[in-house]
Amino acid sequence: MKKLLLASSLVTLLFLVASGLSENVFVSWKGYQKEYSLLLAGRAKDPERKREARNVPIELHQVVVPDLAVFDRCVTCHRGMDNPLMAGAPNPFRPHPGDILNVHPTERFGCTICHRGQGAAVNFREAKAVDAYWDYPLLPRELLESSCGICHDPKAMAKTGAPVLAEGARLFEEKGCHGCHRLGGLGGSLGAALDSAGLRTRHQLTMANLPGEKTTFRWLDLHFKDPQGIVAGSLMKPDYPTDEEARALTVFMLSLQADRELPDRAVARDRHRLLSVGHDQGERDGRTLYDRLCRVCHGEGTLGIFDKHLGKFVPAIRNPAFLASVDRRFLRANILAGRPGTLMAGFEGGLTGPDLERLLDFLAGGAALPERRAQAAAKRPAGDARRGAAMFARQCAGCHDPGEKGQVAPTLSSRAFQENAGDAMILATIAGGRPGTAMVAFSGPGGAGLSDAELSDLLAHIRSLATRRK
Amino acid sequence: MGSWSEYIANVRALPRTVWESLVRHGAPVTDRSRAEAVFQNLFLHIHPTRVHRWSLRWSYTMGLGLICAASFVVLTVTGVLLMFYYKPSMALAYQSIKDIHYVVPTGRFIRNIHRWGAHLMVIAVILHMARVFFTASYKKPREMNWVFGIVLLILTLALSFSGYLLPWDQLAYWAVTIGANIAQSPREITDAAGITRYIDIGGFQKTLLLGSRSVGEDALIRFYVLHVVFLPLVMGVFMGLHFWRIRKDGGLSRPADADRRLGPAAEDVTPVFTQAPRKSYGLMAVVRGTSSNVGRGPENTLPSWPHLMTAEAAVFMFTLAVTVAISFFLDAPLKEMANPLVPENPAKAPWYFLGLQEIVSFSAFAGGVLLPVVTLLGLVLIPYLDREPEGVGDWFGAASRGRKVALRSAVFGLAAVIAVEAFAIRFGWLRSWYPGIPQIVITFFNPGTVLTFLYIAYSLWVIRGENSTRLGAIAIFTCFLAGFIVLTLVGTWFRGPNWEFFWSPSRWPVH
Repeated sequence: MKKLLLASSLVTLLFLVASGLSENVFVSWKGYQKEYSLLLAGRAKDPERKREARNVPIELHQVVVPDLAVFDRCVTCHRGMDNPLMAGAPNPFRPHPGDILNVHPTERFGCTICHRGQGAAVNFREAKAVDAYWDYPLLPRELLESSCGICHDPKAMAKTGAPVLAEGARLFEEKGCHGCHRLGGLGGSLGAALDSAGLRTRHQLTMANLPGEKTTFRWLDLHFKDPQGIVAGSLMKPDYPTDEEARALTVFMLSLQADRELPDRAVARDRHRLLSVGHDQGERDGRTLYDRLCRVCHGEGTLGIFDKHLGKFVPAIRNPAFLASVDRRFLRANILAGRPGTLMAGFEGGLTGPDLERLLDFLAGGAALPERRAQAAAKRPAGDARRGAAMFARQCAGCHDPGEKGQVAPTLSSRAFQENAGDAMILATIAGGRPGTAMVAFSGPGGAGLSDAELSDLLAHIRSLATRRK
Repeated sequence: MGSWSEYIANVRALPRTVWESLVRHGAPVTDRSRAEAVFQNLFLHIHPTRVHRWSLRWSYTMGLGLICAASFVVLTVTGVLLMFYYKPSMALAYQSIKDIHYVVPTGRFIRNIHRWGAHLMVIAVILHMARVFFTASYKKPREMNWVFGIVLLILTLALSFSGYLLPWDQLAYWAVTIGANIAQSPREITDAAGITRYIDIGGFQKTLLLGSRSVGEDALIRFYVLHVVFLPLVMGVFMGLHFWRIRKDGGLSRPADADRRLGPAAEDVTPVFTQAPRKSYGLMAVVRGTSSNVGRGPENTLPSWPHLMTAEAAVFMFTLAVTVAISFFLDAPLKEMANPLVPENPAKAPWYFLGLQEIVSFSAFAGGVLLPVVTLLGLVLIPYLDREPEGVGDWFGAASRGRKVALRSAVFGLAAVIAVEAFAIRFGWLRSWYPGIPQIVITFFNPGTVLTFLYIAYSLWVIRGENSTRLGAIAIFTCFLAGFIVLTLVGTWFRGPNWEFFWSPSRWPVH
């Protein structure tokens, strides 16, 4: 009993002393500060300064910026941050490179606002915070420009300090990312909205297929290079960017932090303009809009395309025959609501009214595109849906079969189609076909020879599909 | 002049006179002064002046009750230290824990002790309960103290759970979210009956627990007040009752023939009763003694000072040594700051609730309310349903039958829980076969209720077959212990994202 008492007491004492020492005496930052004071004393010019350097108290330093929610203790070890005497010294004593601290003094912005990482930590492993239960680990140097985009307009930074970020913003538009991803009020809804993509944590991304360190920036980089390799079954088109392009896009993605609350004083003027009028100051002509939103799937739009990646035919929306059979109302409805059953997702909310009209003007390509096309004269025999069904099964279902998944042509039973495609348009399309697509002309000269009565039967059948929708 | 020399003498005698005014008995070398060392001390006087040798045997108590009390003391001290730095608000809580971790001198160590000490206390409380049960110490006259023990078990779990939220990290947030949803689970019943609109017990319980609809500022303050004021006070009261009852019930339990079996004390043991009392001290020391002690000393007792005191100090220091050793090497977990937008998957409750969470994965009401209530009720009723006086003070009762039944029950309990769990994991449960089945069916027919039924049936069979309520009690207690252990292990190690089965956490898909 007494032996147990003695042994336990000794063990307790041992660990109390050990933890007292390891947490208060032998801590890495104290070692760094001692090293710093020796270095500084060695570099000081006059004896007065040398003595001063040697007598610098060893103590914790931190930068607190309440309106940015910053508590950064990085300066506890990085003592030479603003001391030109330390030029060329090894890290963590080196002065901050560049002159950025003149414009962004540490005491007003802290460190983690740009560098990320865990500011509260007082050892490097936990400050770096990769795999340390911290949402935003330290950014590698080559991705640092992303943080400029938190307060600045990325595009305004091309010549003033963040060329990679600006390049990323440009690539994002050039590659048609808006076609699926909404950003700054512009874009489709097939992919995730990206306004706060830079705030996502590693727990919000699928990390299963990411080799090595599970950080969001590595995920982004590799995902740009091989979307399906990182997220199995992703619809994102592989674009095979170069390393530089992938890096620029990653930087741009990390910069997107719309949900972050920032004090007015921190936000640059160009950023205020950006937030109020969008990423390209609201000046977009029809061509630009087409390139950003439509081209990624529809290409030039004059010929129907079989998209190998999506495994689907993509309609030729700038095909004259198509345009001749539709009206603005039909196109507008399809763009806003999308085409259910296809990958055409609605752009409602991702396109302003004036933008939409400009886009329609561009699609029309100078030709007259009436708001509503007059319905063809009612001198048409009423069709028989049953006869139409038999014909449909024979002639149309191969591509348009509403029951088959992976059909190659648009679904005719969808509400968007049924409500917005007029009878005249349907008849005209069947009769005249869609030059440049797999849809051939089924009537008229050079057509497959369907009679007007048969066309009516088909129309009746197609209209009857609406009621069969689940 | 006489005053002057007296003054000098007083100054010289100062250390002695101060000491003598503090400790008013002589050195503890006689029976009397040893007794005085105990009962003249406010903090020690809850102890008896003499303690039976049976109670001092390691193999009997294993010091488990003392470990629980020692953990509580350690937790109180470290908890108060943490309170100096902890800020119970959503905006500051997490940051204050980080500060404790990184800049408060030795704060990391203190927090580690508090965290690991809490886990140790839960383990010790469960083991202490098992010890008391298997030595049949709940029997008359100790029935109510057993019930107080159950109350202390509940308080320990409540204290640990309320502390779980305070760091305000992802672990805390989602564990408590689960806890709150379990509190809401009576809705399973009221929904099935279609009366939730009128009597929403579940919703009321959840709101009572959280102070709002979801885990937020109100929940944090609520848990904080429960954790640092309310529950420790109640705990203190019940610990006092528990200790008081031990004294009033005649000390720790021991077999009727303990004196005979222990034989005379060894020669080198501090004197066993040197002075025979001239009057009965039954009033003071042996309230429930069956015979008067006039003219003879209570045999086989030793003076509490030094025997009991040394033992207690040893157990206390042992507890502290284990806690500080673990705390030196292992940091208490602290995940990312709580983020309601990023659910943890799997979100797990504290480990001691994972057995219940395993059942909750089938039915929140069954795992969160029904089974705990049945289990606690069963525990409380044990001393009243098993009133056989034999076997008190011996592990499993001295007769070999008790040990055999315990072994058999352990085998049955393990086999049943493993079989039922393996079946549910391999083949699924009702919902996987009949997706449209009403939840109320699963509420009353799930692995948890099936197991409970099997265990109760088994113990009733033992009561009839062995013709002994004590053996029936052993059967059901052992079965439940086996079930608790296996379900807890399954919930801890074999359940991953979406509560799916994995052979080890290393095989979880990285998300």
